[in-house]
Amino acid sequence: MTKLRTIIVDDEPLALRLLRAKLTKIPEIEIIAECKNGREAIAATMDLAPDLMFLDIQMPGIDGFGVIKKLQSDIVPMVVFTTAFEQYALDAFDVHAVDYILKPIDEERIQRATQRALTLLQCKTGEDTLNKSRIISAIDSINEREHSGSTTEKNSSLPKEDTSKVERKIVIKDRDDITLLKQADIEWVDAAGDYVCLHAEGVTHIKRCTLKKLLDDLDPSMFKRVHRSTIVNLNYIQKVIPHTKGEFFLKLGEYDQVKVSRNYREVIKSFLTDM
Amino acid sequence: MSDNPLLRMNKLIAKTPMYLFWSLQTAFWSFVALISLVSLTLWYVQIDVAHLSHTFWQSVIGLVLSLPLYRVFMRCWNRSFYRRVFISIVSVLLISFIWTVIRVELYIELVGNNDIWGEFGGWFFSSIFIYFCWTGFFHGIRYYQLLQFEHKTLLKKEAETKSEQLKRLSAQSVARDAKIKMLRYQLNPHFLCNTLNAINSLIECELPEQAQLMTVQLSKFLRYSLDNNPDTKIALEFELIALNLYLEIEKTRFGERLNLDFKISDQAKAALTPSLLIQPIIENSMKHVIAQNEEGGTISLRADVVEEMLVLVLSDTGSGANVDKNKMKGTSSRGVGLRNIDERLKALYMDDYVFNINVMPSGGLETTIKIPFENIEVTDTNEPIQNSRVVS
Repeated sequence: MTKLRTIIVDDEPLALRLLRAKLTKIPEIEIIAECKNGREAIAATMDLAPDLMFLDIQMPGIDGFGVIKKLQSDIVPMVVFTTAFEQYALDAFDVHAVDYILKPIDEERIQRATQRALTLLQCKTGEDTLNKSRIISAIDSINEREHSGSTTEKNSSLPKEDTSKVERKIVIKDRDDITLLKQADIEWVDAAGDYVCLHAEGVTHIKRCTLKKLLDDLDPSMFKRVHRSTIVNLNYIQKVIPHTKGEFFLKLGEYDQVKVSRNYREVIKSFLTDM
Repeated sequence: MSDNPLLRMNKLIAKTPMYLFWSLQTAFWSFVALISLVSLTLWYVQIDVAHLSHTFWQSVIGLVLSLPLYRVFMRCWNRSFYRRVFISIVSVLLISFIWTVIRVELYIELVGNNDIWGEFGGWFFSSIFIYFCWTGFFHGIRYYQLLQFEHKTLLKKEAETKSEQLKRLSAQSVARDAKIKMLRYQLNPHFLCNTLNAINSLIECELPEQAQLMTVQLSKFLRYSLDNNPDTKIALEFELIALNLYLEIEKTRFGERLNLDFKISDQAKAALTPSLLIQPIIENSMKHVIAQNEEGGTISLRADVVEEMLVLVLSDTGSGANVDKNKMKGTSSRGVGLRNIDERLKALYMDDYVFNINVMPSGGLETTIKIPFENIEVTDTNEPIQNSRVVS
């Protein structure tokens, strides 16, 4: 029997206990970690590469949405949000096929979410970024509803008059204001379906754009691909931490870590030897 | 057409009673003159200057003589009915007599017929009738006017009560809106759902005593919120009991992350505060400090009476450094949710209060409230006792 390797995340000890108690009754689920906040959830996901994550939305520090934004799309597991959220947000989840359980938690709903996860796992298409892209789409439409009238940036490339590719800035339309991100400030980027997440100075910017299009704008000497859908700014690499199966982590900036898959390790190796 | 100045003037004059009086007088005595002209002067074909001028002048004199009669009627208006009837009859007879004498004298003067005194009885008879008619008209018109006036005041009063009722209704709805708003704020669904989830967890973990305790705390807190009107005042001691119910629930939910530091002086405990004033401020701290910090934080409350003012100082330890930069933006807007507290205080104390929100260097929020010190003993109502029953 396939077991779903699962981590559960909630900042309230009692809520975590309830979730654990309910999930241990389901034979297909194997709880491999329990986390009290977003920071721990990110660390556990990178370390253990779970299949499934039950994730609370309201949490101290990095909240549930923040966890997804900060995790590189290649390693985001299937996610079931647990929330006492207002109804309006849940419509967005439904639209983008993001699973959720309402608090107070009922068993039936947990069963359903587990079954759905099992089916998804069995017919996995190889599209790794699907988990993240679905959630990012949901988050984007929630944001859009909260700040009605605003739209996410659709087409972002700057006019071609900007001659030097190196100095080209990335335009991010966020609600009503437009942010111009210097390429040098971007620590890493990951793609999730129709969106790319740009991580700069501890903030994750969501931009509606394909990775291919963004790559045209980015300076190839500065940014390197380390996973199918993850690109890092080489200047921010602070530490290289080896992991199992020939994979390793890159510590970027102060908080962020990115996983490098086996297929791309040569890129990093050559970068390291060049130094 | 309504702009016609003549028309407007007419309207204006018609409003003054004097104008009405004189126009009615003129109409009545002209009518008397006309009757006299038709039934006597024309009938007997005495169309000459003497007879015509007699007809004219007798009306003029009749009008002049009706003036004292008018005064007499007005004077005795408030006397008893029988007295008025008596006075009226006597004065009518008197005036009629005087008029008849003058009319006869005038006739003799103008026409020169001396043996008219023999017909005095006939002349007097008609005079009496004319003055009684006048009296009838006078009373009829006067009563009609009074009736109209009364009707108008009645309508006015009705309109006033109606508008007053409307005002009261709108005031009531404003108050109800405030209460509903308050309740929505109080019983935020997030708190409720998370608490129920925690109770659910306690049951799952087979901790029935704790589950029961939390259920009772939650119901007591809900009842307190529902029972207490936002505009009633309550002793701080009882307000704190309700606050503790809320905080106990939150403590069960958040565990060690929630630290409390309360220092309340005995004098302050007896002071009256608007009910559910502090709770929203604490809830705000819960939302922005305890729920946002991995390590949690401390919420402190100081209450004391200084210079006849109850001083409440609430502070928290802020969002800390662990917060996502996206959320840091929210710190400056934290006070927005507390604005309705300011509105409530304004409604209750006019300008005799202080409400200050201060962001401390540590990032924490410090809220200071100063309201006039009112003791329980001062107010005679037994409200606090009722409330204490609700709470305990």
